[in-house]
Amino acid sequence: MSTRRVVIDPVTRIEGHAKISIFLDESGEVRDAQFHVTEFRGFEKFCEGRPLGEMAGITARVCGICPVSHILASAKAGDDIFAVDIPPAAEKLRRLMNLGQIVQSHALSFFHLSSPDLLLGFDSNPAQRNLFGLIAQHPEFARGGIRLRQFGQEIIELLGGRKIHPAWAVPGGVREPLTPEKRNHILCRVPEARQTTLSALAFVKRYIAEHREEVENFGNFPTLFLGLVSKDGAQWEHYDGYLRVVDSEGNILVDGHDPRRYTEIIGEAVEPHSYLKSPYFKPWGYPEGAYRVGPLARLNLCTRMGTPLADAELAEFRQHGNARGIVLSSFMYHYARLIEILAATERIEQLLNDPDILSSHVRAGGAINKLEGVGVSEAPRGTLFHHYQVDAHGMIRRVNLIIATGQNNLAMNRTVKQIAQHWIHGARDAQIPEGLLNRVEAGIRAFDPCLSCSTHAVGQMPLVVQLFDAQGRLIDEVRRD
Amino acid sequence: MRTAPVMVIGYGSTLHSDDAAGVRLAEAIAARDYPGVHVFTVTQLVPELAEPLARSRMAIFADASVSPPRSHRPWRLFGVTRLQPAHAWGALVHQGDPRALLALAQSLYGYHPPAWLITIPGEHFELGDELSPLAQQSLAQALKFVERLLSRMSRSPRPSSVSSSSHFLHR
Repeated sequence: MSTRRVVIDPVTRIEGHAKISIFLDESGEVRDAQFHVTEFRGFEKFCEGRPLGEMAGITARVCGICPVSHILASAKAGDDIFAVDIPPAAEKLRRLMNLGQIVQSHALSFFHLSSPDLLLGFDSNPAQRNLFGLIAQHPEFARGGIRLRQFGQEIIELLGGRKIHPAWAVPGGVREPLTPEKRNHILCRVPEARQTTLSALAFVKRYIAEHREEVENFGNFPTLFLGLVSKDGAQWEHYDGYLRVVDSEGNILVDGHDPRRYTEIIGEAVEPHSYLKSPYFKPWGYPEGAYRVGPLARLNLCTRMGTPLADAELAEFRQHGNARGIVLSSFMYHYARLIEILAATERIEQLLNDPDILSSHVRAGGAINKLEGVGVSEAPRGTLFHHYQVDAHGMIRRVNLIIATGQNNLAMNRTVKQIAQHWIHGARDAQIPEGLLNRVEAGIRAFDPCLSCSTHAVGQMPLVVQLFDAQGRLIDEVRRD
Repeated sequence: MRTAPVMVIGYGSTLHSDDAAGVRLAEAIAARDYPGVHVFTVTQLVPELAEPLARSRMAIFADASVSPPRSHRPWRLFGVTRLQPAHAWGALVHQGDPRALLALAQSLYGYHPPAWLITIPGEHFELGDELSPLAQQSLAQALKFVERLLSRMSRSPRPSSVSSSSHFLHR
């Protein structure tokens, strides 16, 4: 069957690495849609032959937004190879930094990238539907978002230095303890961060109540969900714990699974249209084993958040789900992200008031005691796996990284397809309304993919929208810088 | 009275060979420890940089580029561009460009400093730690240029005016 193709193609200054293709049939209906990523291959190879101790620093340089995630997963893989239990204060400091990371990264995603769609409207003028339009119309909301991101970033910088020191988290613990002055400084900023988050939550709840059609057709489909839950009572977890997998009905398929044995449950497929690996739940095969990770998954997996305000929000959130409270619409990633920020502010306060947090015992000694190690933590976008093999001298022999954006790849494709099928009909002529294209793009934004992390790539991505006819001729093109 | 600082922001990926050129320039400036110069090295430009920008008297961004500068000075390997604020934040990605940061500083804090972008051409952007010969040569030239500017500003008895900075940068 011949098809026409709509391509949303971000081009980079170095090499294209992502685009959205929407395939139309003869009647102008959407037959399929794909999210493409071009990967700079060879990163794992690049790491081979380097000392284990350098891995945190190297992998942290992949991304300017979530270096902490890589630092922590790498340090944990090192802990595993050293076969050490790190001191309690070191674990708490690592947790504190990861919570700061979740706050700053989620704030960037929600306030800077996604809220213009929600506050200004998907169909609003694209020239104003951005951070600057948001500032013009909702200045306090925008400023609050920027200060919230600063709060998270400040935690990271107070612990790891302005330029996050790649060796702050090291196998065996962390290098520097926290001082009382820094603790007090962070504590002072918690109330404002929490208030900003609560205001944003109130806004999102109103939006969802008023835009049911948008929410119901925004990547709303059954998949599995995968992520970490705590070892004690399967609470919301971001740093350690066990892997859990639930299906869309809320049935627990895997529980209490040691994340170091991830290869028993996760396979990795490659699609011809994308170089981004597509991990899947091995027992169900590919592509039936598609699963989602990240904020929505973490909230669907856990029994409770473990802090009072976030638990109250979780209970409300689950009212949007099925009989067992499983929420399927990918739009709800936004909502889940805000609940996670709220939980993070509560846990940050708890950690800072913990007497252990100022302990000077932050690092256990160690050496190469195993030749293989796995470090797993929850990055803002989802579960992050670092798997290393080393020789007896601690030199890297093999690396495998499984990144959150890759794990959401299958779901992102299905989200794009669903949105396109709902909003695009009879597109026989060359004009696809801007609002429809923006919704498709927003479907990807909901997952907050980190293209730097998933592709190890660099570059700006102005958006080029191209329309081809049935013969493959380019008949329309729109570029958004 | 304290003088508003000059901000030097080098950005790019230090994992991708010549893409690190802007960062390397900023690191070299930081090592010289000029008074009143605040240096940032980042993988990508992020919104919170708007706040220190709004407190600066001048900003110099340094980035790698894939193409040689468009200039009537054939001996100059690097590019110098006066930046104007622009509402140009990418919709899918987590990074802005320097013009967007200036616009953000203006929108949020009511001021943006005069700013220039130094572009350092490279030829290899694959995974790697080394700069190509072209990038090394361009970086050395660009570094001397920025050093002369900062030395001149630090010797100035009062804050360098926008016009004097502009004059220097366009010589």
